[in-house]
Amino acid sequence: MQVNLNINNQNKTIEIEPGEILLDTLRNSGLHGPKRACSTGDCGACTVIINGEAVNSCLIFTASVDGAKILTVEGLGTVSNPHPLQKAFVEEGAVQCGYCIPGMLMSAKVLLDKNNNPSEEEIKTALGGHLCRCTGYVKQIKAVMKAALQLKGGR
Amino acid sequence: MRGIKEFLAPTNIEQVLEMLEKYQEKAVILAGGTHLALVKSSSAEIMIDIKKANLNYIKEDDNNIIIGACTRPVDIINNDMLKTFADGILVNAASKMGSKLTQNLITIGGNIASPFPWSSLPPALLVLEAKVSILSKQKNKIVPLQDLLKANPKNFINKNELITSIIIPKSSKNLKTSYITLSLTENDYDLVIVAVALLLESGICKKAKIALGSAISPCNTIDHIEPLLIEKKLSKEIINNVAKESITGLNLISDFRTTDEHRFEVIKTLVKRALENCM
Repeated sequence: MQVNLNINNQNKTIEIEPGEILLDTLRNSGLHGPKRACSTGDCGACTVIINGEAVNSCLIFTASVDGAKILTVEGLGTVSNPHPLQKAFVEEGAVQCGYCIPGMLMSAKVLLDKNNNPSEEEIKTALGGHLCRCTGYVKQIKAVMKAALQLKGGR
Repeated sequence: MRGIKEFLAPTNIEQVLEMLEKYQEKAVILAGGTHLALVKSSSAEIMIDIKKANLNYIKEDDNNIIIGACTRPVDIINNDMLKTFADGILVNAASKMGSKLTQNLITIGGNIASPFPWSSLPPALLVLEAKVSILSKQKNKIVPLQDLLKANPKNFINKNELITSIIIPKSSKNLKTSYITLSLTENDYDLVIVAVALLLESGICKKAKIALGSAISPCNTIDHIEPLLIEKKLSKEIINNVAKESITGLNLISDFRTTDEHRFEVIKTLVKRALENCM
């Protein structure tokens, strides 16, 4: 079957299996930002933004989001023009192996889109569904705070 | 999911019921998908996605609050009426459910149709004496949630039937409630869930419901403690006694997360704290 998706601001018609999972569809389309780790919705590495909400793409059937607007980390910023969140994560040293980071960035983006002055507690809640086995979470929380400040002052 | 040959996305309940009637055991219902996405292969050939069938709503009539089967934890958390209804017990339960990510996916109907021991909403719904509306093309059944869980929804709900809404009596509005959980980390599966709802008149307990989740399967109320509270004024002594008696006769889950001995102790403590919260 075919689905129409707007992925990173590009309209695409994609051939899928009826029981296909969105994470597989995205990765088979060459978008390797969303990562496969637990496959059970526990780790957050596969997080993408669908119609403004951060969700685990490993728990979503692609056919169920036909017509949706999807943002992956590839659509967040570029190497030459990174999103303030990406810049802040690098500057704060919040990235070690990097496997969890694309997912964390997407949850952090949804948080900052709704709340440009989040408290530490609110950041912890927003990133609560993401597991990082390298750095812990302190630098990532700092990075989100830093990005919030930068976004308030204009990108 | 291997085996699925066709994906259908009906846009109203009538279409869903029509499809269920037609396809019966050949069809599998997709709501939030957090359970179904874990199933690797299925004997069903047709997936019926009910998320576009107008089942995401929270409304009220004269006697009840009615929550559509596809309503998600995030919708409950953001609902102003539920923030104050029975001390916001449903909002508390929804907030403790999984992570922010899964709160955007899980549905209240799915939490009942495919309940796990750690499902967050059933204990809160049980103490509010919720009922479940189950529809087929032929009839509309309204079943107490407790009866449905005891019977096992997978056996109780026929292949041509669909949970369409959860009905909560408005008489539960002024109940004093508390919802407490214990888990190893905030987003981990709960080891024990305790939900309490009391009707207090001038400090005297007129009605009492305590439900347990994650500790017994299926999640259920512990009815033997009710007589220990009725017509009593909540005091330290009464609460200590109820907490001690709350574990009597329970057959607790013992698994890799923790032992039944640990759960016994945790239940006593959480029941005590929950009752103290209601004082």
